[in-house]
Amino acid sequence: MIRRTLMSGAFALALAAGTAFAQDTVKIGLILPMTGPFASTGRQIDGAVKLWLSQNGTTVAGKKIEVILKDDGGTADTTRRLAQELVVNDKVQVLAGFGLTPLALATVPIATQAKIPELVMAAATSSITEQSPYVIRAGFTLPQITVPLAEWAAKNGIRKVVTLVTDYGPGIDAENAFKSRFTAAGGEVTAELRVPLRNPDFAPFLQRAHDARPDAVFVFVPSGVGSIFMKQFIERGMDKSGIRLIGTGDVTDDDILNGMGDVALGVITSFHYSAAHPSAANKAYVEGYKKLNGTRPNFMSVGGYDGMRMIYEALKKTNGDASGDALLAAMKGLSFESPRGPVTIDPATRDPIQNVYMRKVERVDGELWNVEFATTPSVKDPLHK
Amino acid sequence: MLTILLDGIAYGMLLFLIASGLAVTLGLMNFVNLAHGAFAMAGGYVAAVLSNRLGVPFLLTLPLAFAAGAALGAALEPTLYRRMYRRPHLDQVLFTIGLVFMAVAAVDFAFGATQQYVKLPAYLSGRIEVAGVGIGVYRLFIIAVCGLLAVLLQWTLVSTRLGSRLRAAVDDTRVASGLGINVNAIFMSTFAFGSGLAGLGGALGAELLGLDPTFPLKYIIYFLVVVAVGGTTTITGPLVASLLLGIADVAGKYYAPKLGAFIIYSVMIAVLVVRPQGLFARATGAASAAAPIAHALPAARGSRLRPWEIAWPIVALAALAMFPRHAALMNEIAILALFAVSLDLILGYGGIVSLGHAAFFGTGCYAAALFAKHFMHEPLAGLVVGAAVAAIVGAATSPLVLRGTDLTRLMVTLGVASILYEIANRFSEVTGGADGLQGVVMGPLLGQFAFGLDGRVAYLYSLTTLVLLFLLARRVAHSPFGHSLQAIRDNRLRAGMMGIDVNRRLAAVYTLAAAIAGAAGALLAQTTGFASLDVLDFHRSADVMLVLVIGGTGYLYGGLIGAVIFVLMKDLLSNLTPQYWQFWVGLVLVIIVLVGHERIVRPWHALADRFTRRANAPAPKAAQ
Repeated sequence: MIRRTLMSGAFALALAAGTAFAQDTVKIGLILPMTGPFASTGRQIDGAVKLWLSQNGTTVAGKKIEVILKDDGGTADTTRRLAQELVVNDKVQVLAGFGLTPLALATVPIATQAKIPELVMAAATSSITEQSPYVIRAGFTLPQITVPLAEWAAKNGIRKVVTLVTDYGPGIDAENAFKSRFTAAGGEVTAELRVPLRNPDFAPFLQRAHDARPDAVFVFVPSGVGSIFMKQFIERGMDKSGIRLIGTGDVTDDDILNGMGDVALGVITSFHYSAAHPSAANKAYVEGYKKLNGTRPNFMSVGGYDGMRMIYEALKKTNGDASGDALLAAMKGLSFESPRGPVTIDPATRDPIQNVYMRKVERVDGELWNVEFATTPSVKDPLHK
Repeated sequence: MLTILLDGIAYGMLLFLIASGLAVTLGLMNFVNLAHGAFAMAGGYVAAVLSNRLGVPFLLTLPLAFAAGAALGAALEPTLYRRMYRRPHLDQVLFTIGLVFMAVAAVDFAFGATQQYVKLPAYLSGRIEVAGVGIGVYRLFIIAVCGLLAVLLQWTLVSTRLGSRLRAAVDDTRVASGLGINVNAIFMSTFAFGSGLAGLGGALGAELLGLDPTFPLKYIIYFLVVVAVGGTTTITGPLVASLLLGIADVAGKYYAPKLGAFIIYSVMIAVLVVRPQGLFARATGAASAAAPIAHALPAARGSRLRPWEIAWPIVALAALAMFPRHAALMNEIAILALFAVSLDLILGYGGIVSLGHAAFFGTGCYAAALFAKHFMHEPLAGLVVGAAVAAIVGAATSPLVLRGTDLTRLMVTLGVASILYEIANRFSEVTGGADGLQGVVMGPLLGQFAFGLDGRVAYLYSLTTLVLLFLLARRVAHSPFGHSLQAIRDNRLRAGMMGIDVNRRLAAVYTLAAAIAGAAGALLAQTTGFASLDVLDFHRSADVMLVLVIGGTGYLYGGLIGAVIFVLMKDLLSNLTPQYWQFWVGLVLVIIVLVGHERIVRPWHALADRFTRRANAPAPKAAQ
């Protein structure tokens, strides 16, 4: 009995200490796939978060920032459990990260119940932010970057297109967005191919695309396999039979573009970020990132970097008030100059409004880059109007 | 048409090249080497580094990749693998999975998590037209290289002195060494050669299969399929199986892209149901006279509960009082423990090894989630529904696991789980597909206790279910029915002769295990309010197998102990090093096997064993 009283006393003390500590520390729970097939996403974002902290310090608006990194290995129920523990045990004020759509979706009930922002840095299915008013996005959505590409294709002599997407949320989003905008602009989608997420060989799908003799193949695949896809595209001689390859920027991901070699030259993609974006902010970003992490930053990293920026800016606006609703309100409508260009967080949909660029892979100074050649300014997610 | 055929052949040839080494170790040496893909990965990385960073010509990197794989094999065989030959298959699984984890993390550490490329020279890329049919030059090259190697391999095994020595050494190690054959050297060179072939395959295949640290985990299923379908006693078997699978996969995806992924698994199940030993097995039952699947198990004692058996639920409750902040983690442990207990019923008692137990876990999970979404929010009803639906699936698929060897069953169960995975993915209107099932709202338990953020209700709910179903499983295991199962496990023929209806009893326990696994899945769906495809994924089946093997099979408590060890270890290590925790988990697994998990998990048994052994017989081989 006495022991129990002692123990509960100790507990109360520890709790009191905890809350006192929490008052001048803002904790951010960063949940990323650091292992497994999507580990490269986690590494990029983690690298960007570290860069942000090294550049901007760990104190903002009088609060100390503490980032707690957790690995979910890309498994949804682990993500959810980690989120739950971060909220209950670590008393985090922001849940951030989320490498894939199901991981973000599994966490929505936690963030909603805890009334803290769920800051999605990578997952790109449009519908995530609809699930709860506590979900806010720093990255991009696939329809957002696909629509300008469909318009560009229709204007540039492409009439018949075969779409080839990976069979999961973002892929289907991309397929639908491309098809509706492209057909509205007078084009025709002659075949819609969906490749299983776990697929070792693109040969049969590419052969189908080839046999349909389109003007171009529109492709969305997650960044890692993009290069395998591209090599097989060239190997099949599709470029020589006059079929163009257009796609979202995942295919020519900056992270691995250099490894692809010359097969990537001339591929046209649309995206919200290129490491070759010609701005001072981006040059500094790419240099800083390379120096700290040793690799070139990609679009995932920029989502992580700007996610941290959103937290810092919001804390400045609230004068350090880190309660969930205050932070969320402060994040809505934020406008800033990101390495990717100007970004505004749409207060209505909590999705970023940003420029989408048309890019072409070129060799500059011995390295391959996605060189931007046209800009569609301030694109909103077309599904959230 | 012809293009598709050639693509399929090239793909199949590549599978063959990598899998042939696995066929050799599994078929000839009777060793389950799940780390085989790691040798392929090593070869791939050697080729990538040599050609990209050092500018070595591509053709030269291929023999070097072979050499790297072979060297790695030659180094590991005498130091690590040799100790494992006489161990039960499940120990081998645990050991080699541990090696895979270490390899994955080590490669990640050295080269990063991104895709690597092997740059092809110009003369191997592009395409030629032959009679109007376009053929990729590189695919032709793969077919040529692999075809040549297949012929060479077959010739070596059948017609050379080395081959006959190897076969002699395998058939009867003792006699072979009595005849002056250096068995150890033969095994080592065979193992090294198989690893070398894998290394070469990894280098050749980087272009088609990709190359990143998860390579060994991603493709091990394909290699196992090849070996299981082809049988392990010849080289022609795996070759034909690889070609069949390669062509079926590629052609299936071309002609029926909607069915794509189903085809490879359906073909496999169909073949294994008709010919459980694989397409080209020798008619002798040599392969099934394998090492025991698990450790010798303690004889079933009385069914009366002993005092310490009542203690564990109390400890589990006390854990909540002491660590209230970790309720969510404990909930995960309880669910995994229940899942592992269900596997122990079929594996430890029925002797059925399964690499697809997630089929039932996932079925229960989706059933409970859908039930809550569309019919009723009451958790208890959902739990029953989850278990019932899983039981139906279990009963329906039970005829598939009654025949064949351990490998057959591993692959058939894996196939069933993979097909369910594809179904869940395909019917995304119902299941939410790859995004997961949204909008599962769970009502309060018994109308009273809502599942809160702190996870306490969830844990108590899962724990109660675990205790009750555990008692049920225990009851069954200690009943005459359970004893008859153990008789079947130990000797099927004898059990049949005694008048036990072997097939019906196995089907019954399989169904029961499916129901319990389904209940575990339902608990996950209910306590997380979410269901996503990874509940049906291969890694879920593999994890539960690891859990059970860590804890020990055939006494039900193994599932509980294993789950506690596995989850705590993972959580602890991944908190310390979110990037590279897999390496340390792998190391722990390897150590567990090397030291002997009997000695770690159940030291009292090891001691008792030693006593009885000393008393009964001098046990010549036991020192191994």
